[in-house]
Amino acid sequence: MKTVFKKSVALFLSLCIAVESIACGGGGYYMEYDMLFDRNILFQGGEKTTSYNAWIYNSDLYTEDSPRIQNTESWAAYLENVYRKEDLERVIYRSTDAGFDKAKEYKRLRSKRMKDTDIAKKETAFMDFIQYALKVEKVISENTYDPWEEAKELDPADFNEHITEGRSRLKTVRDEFMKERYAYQLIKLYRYSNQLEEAEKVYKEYFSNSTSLLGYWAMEHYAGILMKQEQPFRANYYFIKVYANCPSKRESSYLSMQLDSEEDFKKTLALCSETEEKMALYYVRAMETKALGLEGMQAITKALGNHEYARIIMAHEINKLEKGALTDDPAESEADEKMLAAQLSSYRKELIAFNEGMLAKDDEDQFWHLSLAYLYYLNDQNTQCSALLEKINPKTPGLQKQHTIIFIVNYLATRKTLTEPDENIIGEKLYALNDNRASYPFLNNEKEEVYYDYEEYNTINEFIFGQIYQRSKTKNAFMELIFSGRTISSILSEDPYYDKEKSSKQSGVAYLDEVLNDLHKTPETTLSLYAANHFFNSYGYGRNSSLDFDQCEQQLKEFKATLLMRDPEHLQEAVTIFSELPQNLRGESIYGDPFTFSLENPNFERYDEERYSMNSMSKYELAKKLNELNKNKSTAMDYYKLGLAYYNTSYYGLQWKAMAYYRSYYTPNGFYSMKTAESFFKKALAFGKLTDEQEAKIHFMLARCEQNDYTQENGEITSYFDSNSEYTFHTYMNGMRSAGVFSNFEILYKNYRNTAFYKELIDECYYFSYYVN
Amino acid sequence: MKQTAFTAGKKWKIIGLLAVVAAIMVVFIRPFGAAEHPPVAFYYWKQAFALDQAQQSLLTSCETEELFVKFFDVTHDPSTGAAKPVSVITFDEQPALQIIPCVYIQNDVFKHPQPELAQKIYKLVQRTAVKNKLSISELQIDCDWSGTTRAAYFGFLRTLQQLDQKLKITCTIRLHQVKYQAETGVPPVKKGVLMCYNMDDLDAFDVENSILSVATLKKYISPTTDYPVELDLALPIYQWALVFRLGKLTLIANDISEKALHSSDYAEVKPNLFKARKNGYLNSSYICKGDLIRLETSSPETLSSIAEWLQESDMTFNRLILFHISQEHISHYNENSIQKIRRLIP
Repeated sequence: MKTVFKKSVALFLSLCIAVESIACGGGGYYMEYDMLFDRNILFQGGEKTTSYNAWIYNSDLYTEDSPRIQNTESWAAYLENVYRKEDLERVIYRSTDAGFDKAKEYKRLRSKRMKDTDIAKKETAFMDFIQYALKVEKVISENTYDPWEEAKELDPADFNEHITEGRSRLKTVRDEFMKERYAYQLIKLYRYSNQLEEAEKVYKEYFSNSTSLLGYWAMEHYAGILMKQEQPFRANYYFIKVYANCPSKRESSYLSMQLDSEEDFKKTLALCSETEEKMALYYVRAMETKALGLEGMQAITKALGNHEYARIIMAHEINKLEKGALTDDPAESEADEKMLAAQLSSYRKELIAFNEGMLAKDDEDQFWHLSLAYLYYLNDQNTQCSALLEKINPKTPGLQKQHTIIFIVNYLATRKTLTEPDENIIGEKLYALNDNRASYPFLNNEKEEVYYDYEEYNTINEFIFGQIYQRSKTKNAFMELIFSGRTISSILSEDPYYDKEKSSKQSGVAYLDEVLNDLHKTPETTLSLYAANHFFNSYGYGRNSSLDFDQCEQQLKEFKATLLMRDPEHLQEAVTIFSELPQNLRGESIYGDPFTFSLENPNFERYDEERYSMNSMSKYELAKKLNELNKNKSTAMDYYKLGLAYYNTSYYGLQWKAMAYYRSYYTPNGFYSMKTAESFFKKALAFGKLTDEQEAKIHFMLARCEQNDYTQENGEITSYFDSNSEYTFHTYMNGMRSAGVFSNFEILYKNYRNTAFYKELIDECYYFSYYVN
Repeated sequence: MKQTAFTAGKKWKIIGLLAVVAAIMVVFIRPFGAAEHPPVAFYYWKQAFALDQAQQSLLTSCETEELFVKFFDVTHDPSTGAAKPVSVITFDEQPALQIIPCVYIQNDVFKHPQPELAQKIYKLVQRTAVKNKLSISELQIDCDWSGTTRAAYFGFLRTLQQLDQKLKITCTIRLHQVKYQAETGVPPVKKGVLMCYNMDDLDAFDVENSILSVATLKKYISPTTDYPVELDLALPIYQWALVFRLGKLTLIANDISEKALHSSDYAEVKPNLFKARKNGYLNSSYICKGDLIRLETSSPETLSSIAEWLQESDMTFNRLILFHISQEHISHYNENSIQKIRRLIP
């Protein structure tokens, strides 16, 4: 119920806040779709799928046409290809703050010439223009306000000087190319200084019939001006023209359109004269994150046939259907469930009919075969799905992968349980997907950080593996783990605050024992080996590339030994387990000496760079040392050293890899409890017979422990305060003081002021120095 | 015997004393309590501030003195990693009431280091207030913090309070944060507001009304529920339509009236559930044929039931804040219905 409530609140709030991500339609929030029908592999170049929406998708499809590249190319052509594009790009795109010495830049540029063609006049014009454009950028950027700061009153005088200069240059330049460049700069200056009518005049005078790159760039500004003048339909019309004709401004024009009502759409459509423009408008509306795109797809194919717009919309629609069909979230009432199922089924059938119609017209395009095969699968028409898959021989590796994925899910859908041959067939297919490696490189990174604090969609791994596990004859903790669709590293990376219960269950020794026990009862098939390899191989510390179950067992044991090592009472068990493991699995190399004291705060980055120059030991060797010291501890220094070792191998120490596998920069994770270290330090003090210097150091270590405990509850000072701010630092320190976190600082201050360590501490430890002063 | 007589005499003394105390309570406290139910305030949640006649009239009839106005949202900008303010309010007219600024902060903001966030928010609130000639004495922060962001959020609240000791920093508290206070922590503020709405899962098709449900409230608040921070109570007076497409909640159409759905474009499948007969726009939301639309309201009757249940708990509230007055459909609420709810608030 807690999650349910959180979800509802999160979604509600997402609607309360301004939604900037979607330009068309009535606002919204990120929608995640399941994507077994994977546009990344269907449309080469269509990368980045996590926050699916039209503009991100399109932008990626057309990355080669970024404004920067197109602009540089146009300059290269103007300069008669005397220069390489990269050299020109360096001149054009630079920080506006950086000084621009025209003579030096000119000299430098000329040194890059590839040909001797005489283009001196054009080179001078180019340099003059860049110098001017940088000044324009500067004034515009200076007048762009920081959202946290007060909006500045625009001072036309800031702009007018550049407008006058631009006008003058516009008069003197002769060729059309340069005229357009200066006119474009003038439009920007007029627009951002709120002189909209002047901007419009310049647009009409220089660009009204232009189809050049700059013509469309200027058109986008003109559309923006119309929107500001409350002429949304005309603005939309120009935006759609830009969208259809100028790939480098496709994303920004899409985001600027306003299609919030039937009137917006129809009146914009009525203004469009070209078929391409009309279809682009249908496409934009169909690709709105939450709309159903069939109507748009029908209009587009009627006018343009098998157009890319239609294929992209179909992939989008299938992804939406998948969301409903593959997520197991049934309504409680049967009547409600039927109503929702009918909703899905009805649309699925409409898409199937449309797709069959497309294939009837064009039987060559393999995309439409695969989309139909997958729709058949979603509609439980498994025989038709198989028949269609058999009919085609995919032409590209991407299409082949999609073909294989559909084959696997359809194969699983036709079997209630899997026989050994079935398992081998699926195992082979899974290996084939990835060049015989037990991983899904193309499926990785799909699950970026979720926007809100909950997960609401399946990854492909989870779905396919979940389907397999449901049909598996062997059901136990080991199989459940390797078929969870997750990886050992994802489990170990879990934030302990997120779900402590789940996290401790999956990382507890008892759970590992259960998994180990069940591993012995699990038959080795191609499939179970595939899943086991997928689960263990992502454990990125140079493990074997192809593991059998014996090796999986050893890895689990290494994991168990590591957990046992965290508890001094179980060190002997950890040592025994490590000793039985092969040499290469006796744990990560631990660099540096965890038994020593350092006053310096740990610098993890520097440690990573320098660690190879330090002595190292395996986890096994460390476990043995800890165990020996723990068994034979007979002096205060023994307790102190144990305390140091447990501190330095915790989340807060440089040797954290001894006890954990992942260290979060944001939240304490892994082995972060201070209890063990604290207990040893206190015992060392209680044992006595220490010098004042030694006692002072132990109190300092105890101070570190209590401060770490405090930050676990209240956050690191650096995580939300600017450490340069005395005020917030003071607030934070006061909070610590009132929480009684400085008890050991107090002891140091009262009792150890005469020690050399105290003086060193005052110099080195800012917190302590602050506390004392 | 002596002992008994002494005890009896002592008993009478105690009874007498109790009677006096009770009389004092009857004379002073009871009538005070009866007459002084919590004052009624409202949230204003739109980006441009201007009150229409109906809103003015409701404020007047409820003798409202305070209006909680959302000044801006703070969101996480993935491109820069920094927090940024969006939808900063503009005042198209000068408010006649005491304005209490509210700032909604997306939980995601606290997952990233945000130097000087408290200062930035404080300054922007102050600037907005000064610009619009508003005198402010309280600032309300709305954030649905989680385990991972709790420390950063609480630290932020502390810093914000430190910036201006005269400004009272308050924050919103969700029902789950009351029930699971040991896990979620209690924010370091002197006063909070219990958000008593959005109680059920929006995504679930079979939920009748996700905004308000007495049954759900009972799962979070029991007669023994208590909270260590002084509280106001926020109740909803909004309505919306949840659009289910392809089996999933797809969008929320705000401010939808029942009348808009009782047209030939929609078929009523069951009470408050409508099916779209064709593609088209419903307000600014594009509706597709086959969409199932659940209309959810906050009826005065359900609000009364909610208030009655809260009376059973150990909780008391200083103010009743209704979310929100900036919708079209406040006509369902009049002085009487609101006074009735108000009188039920413990």
